[in-house]
Amino acid sequence: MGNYFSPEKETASREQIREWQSKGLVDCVKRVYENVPYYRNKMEEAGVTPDDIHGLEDLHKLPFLTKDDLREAYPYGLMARPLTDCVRIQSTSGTTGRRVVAFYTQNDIDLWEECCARALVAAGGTKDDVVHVSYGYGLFTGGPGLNGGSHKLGSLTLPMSSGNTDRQIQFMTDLQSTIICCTPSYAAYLAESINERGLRDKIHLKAGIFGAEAWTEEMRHDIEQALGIKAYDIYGLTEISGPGVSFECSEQTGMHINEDYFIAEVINPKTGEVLPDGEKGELVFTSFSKEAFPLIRYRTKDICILSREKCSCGRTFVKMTKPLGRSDDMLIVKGVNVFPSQIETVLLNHGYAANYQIIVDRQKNSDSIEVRVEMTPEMFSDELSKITAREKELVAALKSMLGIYAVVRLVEPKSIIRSEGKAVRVIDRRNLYKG
Amino acid sequence: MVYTQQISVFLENRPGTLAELTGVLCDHNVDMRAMCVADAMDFGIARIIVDDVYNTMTVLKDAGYVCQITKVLTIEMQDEPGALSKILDLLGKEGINLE
Repeated sequence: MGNYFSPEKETASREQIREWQSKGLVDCVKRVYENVPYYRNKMEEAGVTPDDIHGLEDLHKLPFLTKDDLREAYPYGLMARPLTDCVRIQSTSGTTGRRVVAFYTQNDIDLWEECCARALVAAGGTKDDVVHVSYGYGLFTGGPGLNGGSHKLGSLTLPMSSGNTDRQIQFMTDLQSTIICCTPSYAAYLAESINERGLRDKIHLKAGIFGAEAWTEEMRHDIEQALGIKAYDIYGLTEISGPGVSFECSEQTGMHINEDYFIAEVINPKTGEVLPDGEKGELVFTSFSKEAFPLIRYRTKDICILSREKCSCGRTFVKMTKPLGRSDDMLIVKGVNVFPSQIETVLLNHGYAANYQIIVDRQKNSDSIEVRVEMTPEMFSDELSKITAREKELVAALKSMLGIYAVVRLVEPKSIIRSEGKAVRVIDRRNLYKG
Repeated sequence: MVYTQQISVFLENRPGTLAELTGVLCDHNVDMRAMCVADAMDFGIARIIVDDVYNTMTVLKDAGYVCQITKVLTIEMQDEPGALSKILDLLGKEGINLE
């Protein structure tokens, strides 16, 4: 047994959780039906009305929402409250550069921050801790999420954001940070920098909360060793709130989903059939408590397994495994979502054919991405400087589209391996999803 | 002094790449008059002078190379010290830049 930020919620009985979810679902469906024409249309097409939804048992009748729906409805199409009630947006990149914008009322922010506070407490945090937030701040939900959680908990928040490692280490040692929140690859990088400078003895970290990208048990072990801390996983997505949708506890065997706010299902990604606990499938969320941007049966494209077995931490919320893969081709590189289709768009816009290959690797816990593009007669020039300039142009265009630097390598035609006539587009050498 | 056509060929910077090119030319009985390679980090441009430009272009394109024809000026000079300097000085004085 341990500490909980919201004990009565986190250790509620399964019956109580079911009741909250059932009531919440019925209410949410009514609100959405009345205020979100986009989803009302979907319901009508499926032949479902709010009168057909009496509780959790009717959840399966409701249509799914996907990222494509969010793109189509961009920016205001899925809002259930008027703009004047909203106090914030957060945003993430969608496919082909189209953004996803999530809206929040003050209550939505409070709900989100409470989820992050729960994550901090599960990692052993109290109001006497110094929480060092090195997730990016801004449109990305990482920084704002953990920042808000730390505020709610009452701990001292260091809003460091990402980068500027010298400054990170300086504050970490001078202000004696006790909990670090950042991406696992940055944690590994920080650990290396700290050890290089011989400052391991000067840091007082006891725990870390790492997310926004996939990481293996091996990486967890490395980080725990290198920093002398316990490393906890955290999961979330902007569409549902941000980080904190689920969080790891002292058992470190999966993440508890905040079921008083989110209903989780796992489905067969091809048929949409709901799968029982213990089976691998696509994670689907219904954020029934959200006011401005509630999503019903939103398909995350993350594959995982749910389990309601008793947890030694005492929490009764369902546990999800780390994501075991994606049901689409999205990659997460340096904490940023990358879709091969984005890269294809940039290439086509710059006069190249869509003959490319993406090589993703991780050297010393740092991600790298290389885009190999076949040279074409049209793009070729006798002048070296012209070709080099085109390469630079591509690098800049990719940075603009993806938000990260990709190495561009021009290759001879037909040098990109084709297997059964179809080019292998993505080679991910990182082996992130192990079992 | 005569205009001639130079073939530029795109080559990746990896072991064997130049040998592969010369191999193709050899297989098709193409005799090179001159060759040089300009290189950037990941790739290079091989520039060759051959007798039958169009035949060679066809051979190279069939073999999957990206190549192009550029009109160049060829100048014959004496094989003695200073011969090249004389020409370059003249070009420099007239403000002509060599690519």
